[in-house]
Amino acid sequence: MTASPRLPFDGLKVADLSWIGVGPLTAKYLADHGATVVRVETSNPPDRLRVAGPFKDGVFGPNRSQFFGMANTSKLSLALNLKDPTGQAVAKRLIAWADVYLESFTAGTVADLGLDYETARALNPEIIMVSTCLMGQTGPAASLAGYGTHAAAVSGFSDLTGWPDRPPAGPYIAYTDTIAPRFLITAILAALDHRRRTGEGQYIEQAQMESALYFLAPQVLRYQLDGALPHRAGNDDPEYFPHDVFPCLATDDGRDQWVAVAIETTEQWRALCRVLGRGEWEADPALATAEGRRARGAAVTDAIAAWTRGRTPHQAMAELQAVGVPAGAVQRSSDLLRDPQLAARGFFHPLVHPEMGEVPYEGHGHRFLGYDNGPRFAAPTLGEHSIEVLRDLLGMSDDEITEVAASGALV
Amino acid sequence: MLSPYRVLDLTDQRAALGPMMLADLGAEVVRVESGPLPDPDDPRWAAYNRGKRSVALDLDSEPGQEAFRRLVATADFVFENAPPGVMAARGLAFDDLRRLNPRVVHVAITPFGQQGPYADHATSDLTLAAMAGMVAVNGDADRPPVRISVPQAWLHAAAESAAAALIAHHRREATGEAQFVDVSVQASVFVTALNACIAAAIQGRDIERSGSDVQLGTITLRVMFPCADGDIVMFINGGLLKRVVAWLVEDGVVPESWLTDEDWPTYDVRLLTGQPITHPFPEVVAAWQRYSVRYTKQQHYERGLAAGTFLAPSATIADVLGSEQLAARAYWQPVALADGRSVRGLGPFVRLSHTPIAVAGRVTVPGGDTDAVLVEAAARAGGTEVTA
Repeated sequence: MTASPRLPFDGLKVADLSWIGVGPLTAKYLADHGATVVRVETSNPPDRLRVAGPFKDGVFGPNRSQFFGMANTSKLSLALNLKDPTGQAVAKRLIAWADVYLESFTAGTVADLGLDYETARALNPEIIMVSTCLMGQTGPAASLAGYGTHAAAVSGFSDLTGWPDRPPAGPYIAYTDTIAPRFLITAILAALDHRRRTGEGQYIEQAQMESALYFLAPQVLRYQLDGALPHRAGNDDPEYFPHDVFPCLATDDGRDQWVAVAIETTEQWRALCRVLGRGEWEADPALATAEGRRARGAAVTDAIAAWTRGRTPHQAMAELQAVGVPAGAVQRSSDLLRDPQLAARGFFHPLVHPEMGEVPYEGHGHRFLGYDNGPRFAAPTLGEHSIEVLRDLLGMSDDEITEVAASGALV
Repeated sequence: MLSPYRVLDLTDQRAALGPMMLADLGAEVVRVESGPLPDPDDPRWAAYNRGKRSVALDLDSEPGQEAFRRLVATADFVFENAPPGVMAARGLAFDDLRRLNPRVVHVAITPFGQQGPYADHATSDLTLAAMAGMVAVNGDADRPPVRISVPQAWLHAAAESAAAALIAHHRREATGEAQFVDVSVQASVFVTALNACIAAAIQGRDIERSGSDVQLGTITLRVMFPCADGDIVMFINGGLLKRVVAWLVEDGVVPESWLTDEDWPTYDVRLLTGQPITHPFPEVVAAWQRYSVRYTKQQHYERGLAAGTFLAPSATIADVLGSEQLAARAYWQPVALADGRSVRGLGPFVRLSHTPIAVAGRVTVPGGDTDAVLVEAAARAGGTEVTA
């Protein structure tokens, strides 16, 4: 490969005034791929992820959370109180410096802070400003602040997770925070390309619900066409059977373990029968279809469970994969950290954090031939780069910096 | 916005979302159907194939490969989600494509990536969600872990592929070099477990599934509560609690003393950091639940809206289609299916001030543009011969 090591966003400047999940995860794409990203944050109140675990060694501390860490790799941290006039003045200089400015406050907040798009454009006519919030900047629900948990519920994901006889059992923590950034970064990158060609910046507004619904688009269309309202169904699938997780040997410390098995074709079913030692099922035409097998539901799933129960998830997976049966271990964090596939991909990047020491940071869903696109350096401690940002990026003199610091805005 | 660029989309319906995101942003997207033509009225097709043209080419035949090579010469991006090795067997690996087009961005989406010990595994939505860490954290503790009940795993990789294609595009513009993008479903889904995915390396233990509870390291918050006709999400946090307690008092669920015997705005922080509190968390949760069951999802939502508090209903698809917020933002856009029926399609995934997304109003017909696309390709190549 003759590619130069140049990163895609070398030279790009980003003012990341966003917080919590969607905004920081979006700016992380830019940071990990070479942009200079200044994460603006304050200790009062701190980014909610700084006070949410997991904390290094289980010890609480705003600089010890890997929830914050995973979303803020390769960024510089500027501690700045945006409610303070001096803080706002510094933020304006940062916006004037930046190519891209992101924020994720409750709708209307940036106008109150004097940092809205009109202001940003006056400071920097080619700026690309990005606002993201749960429900959008307009509409009757614009004022509703919340987390990805709220957005997952109001978008329909919670209703579709868990068991029909129980309340929703997920999705875990803040699901739409893992969908919305993928849409937002794609729009930002298209806007940057447009600006490169035309010199025109713009304002990008995201309602996280409106992006996330693309992950339920087939269900939205189907409901309108035939009235079929999907409902949570454990691991059942309307087309495939068997399609479930099956119990395996417990971990050494007694926690349950499972392997997922999904039969999508008759060939896979026959292979599964051979593994189970069920020659009579393999030959039975009534069981050649998913519907035929579903009619014998418990007999089929009990036989699989009887076989998986004496194996670890990875043993079961290996034996089933050897004959072409779709099977996958239900992996926890501890499994993922030693997953040979992720290791072969170079997915985890051990990086040294000033307070946490060396910790693994995850890579992206994609990688490129010819260069490493993983996190470049560890997430910052709060305000770790404040002086450096003011002096080296904004070109402030020592006197100016002293004045800003004395105002109490750098917290 | 992406109007100068042409995308060849060889994906099947699992990954067709990625190229559609670029189509929404203005790129010219040409689908290539190799093999049996999909049913255009299947919602899984209709959901992710609009604003694209479609050409039928048998990529396992020499004439089809030759026609495809001519298209590659005119393309800025090629998206495909064939199993590892399939494109190479067709003579259409990255090295082949870049010889035809030295500036091409080739985006390949596969379950585990192009290489590695699991690269050739047989997979499904469920097994991939399991392998990526998504299943382990979903479900009630006393029952097996679960996936989200409708397919999600490939969609994460598909949306990631659009972002990755444009990252590669920026580097292509800077270096003039062709780019190969290797998207893994497993690696893309990994982030869905958010703070749980790397927890074992940080705190020395895994985060275990616990229904809809929010697990924050020092505390686990129950946030899903039953109501008269379903469930709602409510966070017990700071400023919100003061209003909530007032409702509880008003409804006679708790005595009036609750208004004054606790400093509710600081309750969550004191709880999180182990400082003294008057009303233990389980007592607050129980009181809230006595209140929540009295009202419907919509009543809770409206009461929250009036107070600026997000009491989020656990919405069904029908509820989503009835959302006043989406209606007020004119989100839904009519889309015509191949059979002439019209439905409400999803609207712009973001709002852009200068180059707004114009959602295409028609579902792509598989193979419907074969002749037009091939004639164009021949014209661009300067020839006149057309081979279907």
